[in-house]
Amino acid sequence: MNVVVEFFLYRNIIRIFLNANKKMNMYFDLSIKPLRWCAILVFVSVLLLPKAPMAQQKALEIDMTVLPGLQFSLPRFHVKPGQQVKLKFKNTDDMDHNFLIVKPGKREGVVSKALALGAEGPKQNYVPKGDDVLWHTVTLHDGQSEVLTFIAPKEEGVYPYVCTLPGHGFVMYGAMYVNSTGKMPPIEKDNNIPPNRQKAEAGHDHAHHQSHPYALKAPYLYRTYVEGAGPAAIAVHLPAQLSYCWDAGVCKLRFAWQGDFLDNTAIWKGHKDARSVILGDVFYREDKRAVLGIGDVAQEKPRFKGYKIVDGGYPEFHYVINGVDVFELIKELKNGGGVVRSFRIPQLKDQVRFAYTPTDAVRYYYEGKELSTDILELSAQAGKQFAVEVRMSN
Amino acid sequence: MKSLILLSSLVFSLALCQSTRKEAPESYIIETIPMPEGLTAEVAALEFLPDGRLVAAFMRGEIMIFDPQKKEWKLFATGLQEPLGMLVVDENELLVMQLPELTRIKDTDGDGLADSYETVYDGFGMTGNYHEFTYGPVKDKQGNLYIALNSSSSGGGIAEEVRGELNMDGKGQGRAMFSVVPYRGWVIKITPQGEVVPFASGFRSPNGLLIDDHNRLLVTDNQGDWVGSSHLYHVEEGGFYGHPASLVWDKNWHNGNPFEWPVDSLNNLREKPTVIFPHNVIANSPTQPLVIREGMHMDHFKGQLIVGEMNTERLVRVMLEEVNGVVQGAVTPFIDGQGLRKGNNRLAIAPDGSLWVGQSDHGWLGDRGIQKITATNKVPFDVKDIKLDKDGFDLTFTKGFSVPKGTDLSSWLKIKKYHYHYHAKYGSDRVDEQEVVVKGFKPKAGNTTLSLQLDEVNEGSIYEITIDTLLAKGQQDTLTNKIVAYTVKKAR
Repeated sequence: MNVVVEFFLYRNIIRIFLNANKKMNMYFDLSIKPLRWCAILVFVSVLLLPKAPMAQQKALEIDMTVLPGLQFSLPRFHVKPGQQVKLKFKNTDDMDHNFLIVKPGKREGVVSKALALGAEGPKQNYVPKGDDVLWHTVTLHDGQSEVLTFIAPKEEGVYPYVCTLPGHGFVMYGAMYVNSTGKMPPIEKDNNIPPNRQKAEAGHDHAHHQSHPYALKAPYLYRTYVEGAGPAAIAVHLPAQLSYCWDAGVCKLRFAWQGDFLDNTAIWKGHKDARSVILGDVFYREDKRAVLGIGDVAQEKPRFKGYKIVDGGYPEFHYVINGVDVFELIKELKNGGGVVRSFRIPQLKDQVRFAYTPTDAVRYYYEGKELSTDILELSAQAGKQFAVEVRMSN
Repeated sequence: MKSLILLSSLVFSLALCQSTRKEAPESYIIETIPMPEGLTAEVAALEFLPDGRLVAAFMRGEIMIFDPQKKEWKLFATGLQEPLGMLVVDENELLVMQLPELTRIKDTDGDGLADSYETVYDGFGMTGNYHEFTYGPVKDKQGNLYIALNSSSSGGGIAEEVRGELNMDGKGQGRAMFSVVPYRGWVIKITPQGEVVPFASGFRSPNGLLIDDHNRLLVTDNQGDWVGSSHLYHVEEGGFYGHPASLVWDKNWHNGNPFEWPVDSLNNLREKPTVIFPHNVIANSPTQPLVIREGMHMDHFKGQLIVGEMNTERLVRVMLEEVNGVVQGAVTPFIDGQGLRKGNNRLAIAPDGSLWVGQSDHGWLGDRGIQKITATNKVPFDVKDIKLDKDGFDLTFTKGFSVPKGTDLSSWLKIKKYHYHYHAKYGSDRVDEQEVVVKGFKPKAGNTTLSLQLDEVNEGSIYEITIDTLLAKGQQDTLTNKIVAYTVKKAR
């Protein structure tokens, strides 16, 4: 069959299936990521072919991975009694994990027994002996996977799955529902899954959570990893829905954007190279290697010295170029149409060159006049303190 | 929550009032400190200010100050990146170790909020890898500061743009932690004059630094590749402490990729652990050590160390001694369960002697928040200390013990010995594990000491002593912690 046709066919079937399910007070996990739909497609296709002879029935394929914070990617799934199941467990975490399916009601007992293995645990893959454990993988490292192929129990019930590495089992578990109807309780009332997974729409409620024990009022900043800057980045949110990223590694403004500030949801979980995500449109990006040139001697790598919080709560960055202290302050333009970059170089004895990147998106102004090249040269006197405006063109 | 604290305080006050007459029912009282609303209380650093207020740093970058009298939290600083270490200068000034740098944070205008963030040291590399945690600073008697830099994790990558020189020789195969920018996996010394000295290498995940009462630098390291089971090291200048990646930044290293060096050569080069924390028995992820000092109402353990532990609801106690010039010793659980949570990442001693524990999980096993441990006047029946003898061990107890009638000592005391592999593989099984025959049991000093006589004591072995159902003399108390594991680096 044509794959595309098949997909559309199934998509419609799923839609019908979901609608029907809602009415019947049966729920699918809508929190499941799009990729998981592959597994669900197969699942649905199996459900829709109940009269097909067992021998010809394709195994139900389930992909299980690991999310940060000791969680299985699927908090629960459904299989039919006696169904052929092919469950692929891939450890996508930086910690070791295993995957056990146990008899109904036996999760806590198995976890305790696994813990009691103590130093023997690793040799046994943290799997305690006895018949409470139905199927299990070995201990898997980051990136390793194992497929469990089995025939689902004939007896209907809720079969817990769990990772039994020491301590994990108390939080890292889920539920395999075995029944012929496909019925699972509403996820927010499902006590067979971890409390933090009992959310109807996981992943959409972050914005309502408070990020800090205080109200955020611009200007404020985060030292964080951001795409498009070096690792020692400082992201600053300004009033008027403006933000910029200043890089303490190279001592310069890297880019500025308009809109919301950052989404730190992923980076605050702290795993797998997450980055703060910029929630806006970048209107300026600095391509020049060096922004300030002082004197005629070859430029040393600027050295970052820190920042002070000055009037209004703005950070003023301090760095040293060729032995000369530079202070840089970036604020929003009053009309919100750009930013003003102010420099103080109190001990300046030479001329200073300020370089920038001309683009169509912004215009640069010095003392009210638009700059036409990509460099502004100032005498030692004028360069001691100067400001340039970056105005958005629109 | 509040009522719980009130109740606990009441119990404790009563215990104090009656201290001369009556023993408290428990040896330790554990209280949970209320945390401010909206805070994700992943405790990254914890210290006390000279005025008795607690200062705590959190993984999302806040530093907050708690007044234990008023039970009020106040914000001090914001915007930091994973501030995992802190040293108090005074009420208005802190040295804070955050991911990109060591920073001097000051409140210069006295409004209670920090306004100056001065870079003290940022001369180490960063690759944007999530595991490039930074620890310390601790200060020795000469005023030198020590910080430690985590190796980068194979669970993450290397960003397109890095800070510092890139040297891919510091990367191994598979799951190896790596060091491709300067000083990842190193302890760095910063002198009072600001001179920076790469001090010691070979660390994997050194989430705990201490200068002890003997001015020794002690550092914990976490189980993983090249660390068969977690370690505590006595760190000295120029030492290599086992994880190969960081060797590429040693000025005397001219051998290319250290992961390609023979394991035997690396093994000869490395300093062996001062103490090993047996995995799944004592600790799986040890954190900050501190010294038990006078005023904590734990004088029976004075001078020993308490170390935090992430994975279980306990702390760990470390008993050190010097044998033929080598520092070594033993570990035993400390306050196991009893209401203490997991994730015990940071420890601090309050002016009143109570022990405050900051907890974190940050995607790993753990908990969040702060708990306070107060020792009562009830001395726990516990192993007080262990010393290595020529042909065995001397165990002392906090109280005299009695041997249950009809049994002999050999029925309730067992010793196993084993060691761990030094290899690239993540963690290690126990190697050559065997029962050790105890030839002689000699109770001494009114049954407060027990000498254990063995056939021989082997260097390089861990001796794990399990003591079952031992009763305190004339009391119903059984031994609080039943396992002591001694790492024999050097025999007597």
